[in-house]
Amino acid sequence: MKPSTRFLLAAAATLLVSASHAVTLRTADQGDALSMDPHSLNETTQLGFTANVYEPLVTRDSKLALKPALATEWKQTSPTSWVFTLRRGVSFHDGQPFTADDVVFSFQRAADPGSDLRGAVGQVKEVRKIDERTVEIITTVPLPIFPEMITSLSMMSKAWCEANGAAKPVDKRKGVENAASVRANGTGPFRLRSREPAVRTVLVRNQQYWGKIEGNVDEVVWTPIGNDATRVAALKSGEIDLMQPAPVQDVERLKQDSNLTVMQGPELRTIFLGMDQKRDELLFSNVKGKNPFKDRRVRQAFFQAIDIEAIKTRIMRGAATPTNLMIGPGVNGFMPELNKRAPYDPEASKKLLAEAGYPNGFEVKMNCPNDRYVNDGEICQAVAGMLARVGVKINLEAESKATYFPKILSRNTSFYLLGWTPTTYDVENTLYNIMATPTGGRGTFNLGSYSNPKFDELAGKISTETDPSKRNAMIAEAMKLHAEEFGHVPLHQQALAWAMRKNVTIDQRGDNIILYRTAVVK
Amino acid sequence: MTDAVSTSATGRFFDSDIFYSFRTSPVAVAAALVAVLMILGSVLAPLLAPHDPFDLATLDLNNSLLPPAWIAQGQAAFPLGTDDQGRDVLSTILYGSRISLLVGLASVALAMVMGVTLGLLSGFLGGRLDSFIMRTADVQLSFPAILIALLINGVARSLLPGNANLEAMAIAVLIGSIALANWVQYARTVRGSTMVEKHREYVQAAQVIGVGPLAIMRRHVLPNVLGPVLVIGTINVATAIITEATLSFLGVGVPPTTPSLGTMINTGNNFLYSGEWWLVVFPGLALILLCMSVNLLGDWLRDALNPRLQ
Repeated sequence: MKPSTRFLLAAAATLLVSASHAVTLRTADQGDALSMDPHSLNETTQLGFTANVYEPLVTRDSKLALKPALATEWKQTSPTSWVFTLRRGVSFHDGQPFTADDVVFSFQRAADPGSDLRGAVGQVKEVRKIDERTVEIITTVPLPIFPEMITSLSMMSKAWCEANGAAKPVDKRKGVENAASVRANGTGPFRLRSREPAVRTVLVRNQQYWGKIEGNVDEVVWTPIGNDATRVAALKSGEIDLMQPAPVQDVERLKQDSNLTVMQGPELRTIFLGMDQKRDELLFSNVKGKNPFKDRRVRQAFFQAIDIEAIKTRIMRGAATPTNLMIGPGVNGFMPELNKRAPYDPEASKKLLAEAGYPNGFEVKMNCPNDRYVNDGEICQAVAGMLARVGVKINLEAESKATYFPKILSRNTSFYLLGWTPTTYDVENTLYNIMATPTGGRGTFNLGSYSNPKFDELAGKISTETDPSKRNAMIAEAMKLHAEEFGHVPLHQQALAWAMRKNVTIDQRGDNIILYRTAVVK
Repeated sequence: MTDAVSTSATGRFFDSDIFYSFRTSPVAVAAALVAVLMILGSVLAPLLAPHDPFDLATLDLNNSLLPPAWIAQGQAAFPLGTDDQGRDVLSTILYGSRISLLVGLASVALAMVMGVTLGLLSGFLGGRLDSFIMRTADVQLSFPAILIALLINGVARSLLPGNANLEAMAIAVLIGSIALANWVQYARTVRGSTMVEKHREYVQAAQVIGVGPLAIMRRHVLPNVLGPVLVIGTINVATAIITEATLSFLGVGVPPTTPSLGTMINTGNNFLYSGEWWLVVFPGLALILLCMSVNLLGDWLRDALNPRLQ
């Protein structure tokens, strides 16, 4: 095709689209995607949004099974090396072709100290370009599930990033930004048209997309609406077409509304509390000269002081599954027999605190987001109340995730609430990111630095073991160890709830990522 | 004024025009009654309230979202129902209006002190100082007060040391930010009156006998410019309470564990569509009553002190 013909066709296509009335999907989330840079924050809202613009080598379909994206095939050539064949005819939104250099660059970028996706590439030793269409990746240890590990690692354009001074991801912890935080140049089914942080972000369909876009949406308008009632009002009045999450207290009423559909399902995310177990003195507590959280009895006391059933029925209105494990059912490695919580027992909790030397409790600050997880602020308030009953005074700091994440990712916290979905759908991801001792890419989100050498050894073996029965035995041992030491206080798996106008259909994924390519607006 | 003897002052007060105008204005009497009741209720909250909503240890999540006592499933122990954490709404309103009133009164007092001082200096001394203060005021007036309060609040919070006692600091920051956002009105009014007063004979006389400028401002000019300031102050109490409620509603006010009226309305707002109306209606009513009564008092005071309307 000659360039001029191509241009004419494109122009005709544009005319056709505008003539046949562009389809717009207006969507609202409780919080904003904090940046357009797909390497700057490892958070589902953020990565789920950029997943519409940027693509990884390997992705997942709506049933969460692996599916080729920018790589058409891949194979393990030796225990520690993988070869990926790249898709032909893919270009970035600025027209530049996607090549092996971009892959090498993106892996380097994600391994930068300012990147929040270091966990995904922490065990990558080298990325080698074999030819324009082939890349070899060498890992430090054998990683049988390597393709699963890089499904949230987006490919960026080397030329574009370098030309725009965005060759390194911005460090969310330092509150800086660069061109990639507000602009985007991916290969995905949507382009970023405009970005007003915390107000409105607009995506438009990429007419040059290499694949087939299943849905019919031409334009996506995304608005963060933090207030539950406002979000519900916007949906009911038709100001938006889709929202996530549907507030748990409103789900029943929304279901009765004949103009709306509510899609619910289990989510793989586990909500838990973490405690600083590393510092010799907590940053934010009235206990001086020692760190109460270093004592297992204090951590157990916190665990047993929490009435998880009350949180489930009262705050989550039943839309939660209490858990003793840091992963939920549906994640490979979940073991129902280990999922038994130590009982809620304030008396035992008081006794443990007294034994640990805090008969009158102590004071500690708790950091909590109030626009990230389902009823996160309310959960923290309830936890503060429950801990007050055993004598622990919580100074609760509940705030927007825009200020919360930089704080806790800098480990500027003593006690915090966080949620985690293992993007590999395998326990190894949680062991590696949340529970292992922080070193290098490991333990990036182990923000309280729970540390046990035995656990680390097991976690290391689990990532390389290929024999399922041996692996499961080690998983069980590691999880038992962590639970006996109360390394974290797991709370529950929350449930997914999306609500939309009747004329909208969309695929719901268990990881709560919304792919607008699957949306159909009638 | 300040030297008046107390015994005769009481008598003089009841005979005064002001008290007469108060006695004969049913609106003023009703407003004063409501305001006094609400102030008493909040001051005596620890004695009156059935529960202590700020003591987290007394909360029971299993009591959450109970409707008011007169509705089925309501409990007599929680006359106006409970919120999502199991707090008694009535007690929280009493304790919460304490915060609202404290912030309202303290921020107005602070703004008044700042505004009156700067206004006096500006009007009396004139010159560059006057230009500087008044241009600053002009710049500030071109922004809505709530924006300025938000800005100051945000900056102050980021400057706070991480281990500060949030509850106490939050209130201090709120008072400071609302006061800083509102001093301009006082300064402008006082400056205007001061410019008029400073050319009066009594000021000139004081100057002639060698009284220093600071003493003249304090002893002679100040008492004569305070009237309008008191009126603005009264009306601003309501504005300040609403600003506090707005900031708390926006989530930058007091921490959620010690709710003020604004925080309560914010929480209740989340339940607007789910049927728990009492979470937003009662604190909302309390806020309306409080602000309206203070406002009506302010209006009456303005009329009573305005010589042209007498």
